[in-house]
Amino acid sequence: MRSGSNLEKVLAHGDFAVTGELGPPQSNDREVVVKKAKAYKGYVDAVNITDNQTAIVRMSSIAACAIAAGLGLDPVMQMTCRDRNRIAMQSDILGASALGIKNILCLTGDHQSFGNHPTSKNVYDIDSIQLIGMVKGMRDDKRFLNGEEMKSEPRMFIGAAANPFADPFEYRVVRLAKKVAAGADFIQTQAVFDVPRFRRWMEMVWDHGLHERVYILAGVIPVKSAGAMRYMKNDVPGMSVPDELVRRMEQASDPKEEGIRICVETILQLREIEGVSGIHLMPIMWESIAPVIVERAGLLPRPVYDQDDM
Amino acid sequence: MPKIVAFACEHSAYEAAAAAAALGQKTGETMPMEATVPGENPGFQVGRVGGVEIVKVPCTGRVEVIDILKALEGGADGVIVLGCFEEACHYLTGNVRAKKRVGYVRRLIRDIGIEEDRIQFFHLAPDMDARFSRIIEEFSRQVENMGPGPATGITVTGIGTGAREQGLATGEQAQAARAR
Amino acid sequence: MIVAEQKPVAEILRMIDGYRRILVVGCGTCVTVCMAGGEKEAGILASLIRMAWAREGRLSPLIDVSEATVERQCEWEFLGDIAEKVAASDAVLSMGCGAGVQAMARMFEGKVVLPALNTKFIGMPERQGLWTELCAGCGDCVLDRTGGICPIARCSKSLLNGPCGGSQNGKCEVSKDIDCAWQLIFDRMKSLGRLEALGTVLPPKDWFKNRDGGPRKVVREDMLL
Repeated sequence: MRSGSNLEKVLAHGDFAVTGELGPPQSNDREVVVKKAKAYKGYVDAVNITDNQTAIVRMSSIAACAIAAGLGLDPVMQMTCRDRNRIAMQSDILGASALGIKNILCLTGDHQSFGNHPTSKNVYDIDSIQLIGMVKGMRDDKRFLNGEEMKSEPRMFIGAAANPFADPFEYRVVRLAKKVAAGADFIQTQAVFDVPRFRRWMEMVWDHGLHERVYILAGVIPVKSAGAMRYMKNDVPGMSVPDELVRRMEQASDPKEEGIRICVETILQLREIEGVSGIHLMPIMWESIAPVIVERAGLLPRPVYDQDDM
Repeated sequence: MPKIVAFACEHSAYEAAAAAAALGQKTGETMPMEATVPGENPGFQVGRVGGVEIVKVPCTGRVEVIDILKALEGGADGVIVLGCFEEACHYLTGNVRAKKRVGYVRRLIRDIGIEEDRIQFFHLAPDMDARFSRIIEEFSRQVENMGPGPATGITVTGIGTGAREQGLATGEQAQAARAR
Repeated sequence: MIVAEQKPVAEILRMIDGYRRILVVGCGTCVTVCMAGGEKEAGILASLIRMAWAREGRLSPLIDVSEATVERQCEWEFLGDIAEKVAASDAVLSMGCGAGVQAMARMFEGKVVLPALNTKFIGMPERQGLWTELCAGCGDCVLDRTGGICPIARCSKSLLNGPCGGSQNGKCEVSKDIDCAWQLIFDRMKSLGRLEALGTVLPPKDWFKNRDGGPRKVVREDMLL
């Protein structure tokens, strides 16, 4: 085991993994994290805690991860390259490991112009692929990025993001291959609405044999309303939403139920695709729906492993 | 009557001005066209129709931002740039560029608190003597309502500064003029 | 070239408030070409200042706003020409880039030198009236690996290993008006038959060459006197 995290155990066992996303509050309110984390408990194998997503200041991922870990969840600490240089990143990785965090998702990060501090200076000292390599170097070689040795290594299960729907389409798999080469253990993708296009991307993944070298968790978002679906289609960069789904949401008498149904259908389709090792649920502002979706997708109960398992 | 400087394209507006002068169309008064003399800017000639200083230019595209500003600084209360209709420019797009440039100068003077309508652009054809007279009349009324222009009384060189001669020589006078 | 744009006139007027004799100094090099601070623009700014002050009733024989333009503000040898005019002014309003302002400030010790421009970037005119940043002056050029298109200057996140997930239809996630630099790099490498090179992971950049503490220096021993 590279990290011994619950997520790694599930994937190594060959179980179909389920992860969920948790956005920390724009405050120091611990209870918000506790409430959201408890909603996930027993329904997901690991919970991703976002890092100031869309460049809006929130409780730090590392702190919220520690809270979630304290409740018995397996947190995935998201880390973007936007806000920290390599010194701060390595420092936070050491700290996270000391707090019992065993998964990290390495991200470029949304540009600060989207957030609530657009006048801030971005960092982007290293990019997400270099971050992956840095964490791997710390874990496997016990070395800091500068080559200096460390006494004990942070054991992290290293994740990366992939967006099958962004451009240039042909380059997407090359970039995924670079992430794998840099040391990614698992991949969480952008939310899939357009399953056929995702399948085409997976075919390219197969061609490169990448599905045998990295666990791929396909992202899904349960959508509450037709308006939200249209927003996904029109306003989220790097997202592909078929017109059919917008129509279904518009015509539904119970849009929430229709949103759940679409999400569950998508999961069932994704599960059939070779090389998809799990799903990553991103119920933005709707964390409470996660158990319903996981249950209706037939993904319960979640596997449980002993502390010493493997 | 306010002091007006008009930059007029020799292919259109200047002809219209000359015709208007010949006909004496402006509000019934006669408006003799005074002789044009070479300006400091090569290719520009300065003349006068009634109270308006006419700067004959080969194309309004030749009128620079600084020409317009110096006309104002030199004592003009308002500056108009009179070019050909859009498709009719002798140099294809000189008039379009002049119109944009006028927009730019309008923003500049607005930024320093001067009424942007002191600077305007109009299209004219050579035979539009009546339109020329109407433009002058209407523009003069607008400018008059705004009060005296932003003349600084500082000696400036440049085309269209003839207005200064019948105007103000020093800063004190400029202030006195504003106070009236 | 260095591309700059004029500060809002209101900001310039606030900056020079309290001075009576202003010398507006244009620069005949980069900022002339990008139409921000050449002779023409110096004339326009001086005229605007005079009119703005006249509006406020501030003009008096003690007031003097004049302009002068030197060939290159960032080289002392060109600044001697305006020394007398500078001496006769209370404040110098530089229409040069940041280097020009500072060169004048060092040359004319004890004289207030103020910037009339915001210096923007190293770039080129894409077409008449439009300039685009091309080079970030990072001190460690990667253009050999990126098809002659700079990801440091032209990618919103200065990424070295390909486009982030926000690239769509050739545009950046930040704005539909911004070309995705990595799409441009991809297209160019493809046309050069060099796509394979983009499969290599580029290591973290040596930013020491960009921000190594204090102003960076270039030394040519053979040229030193």
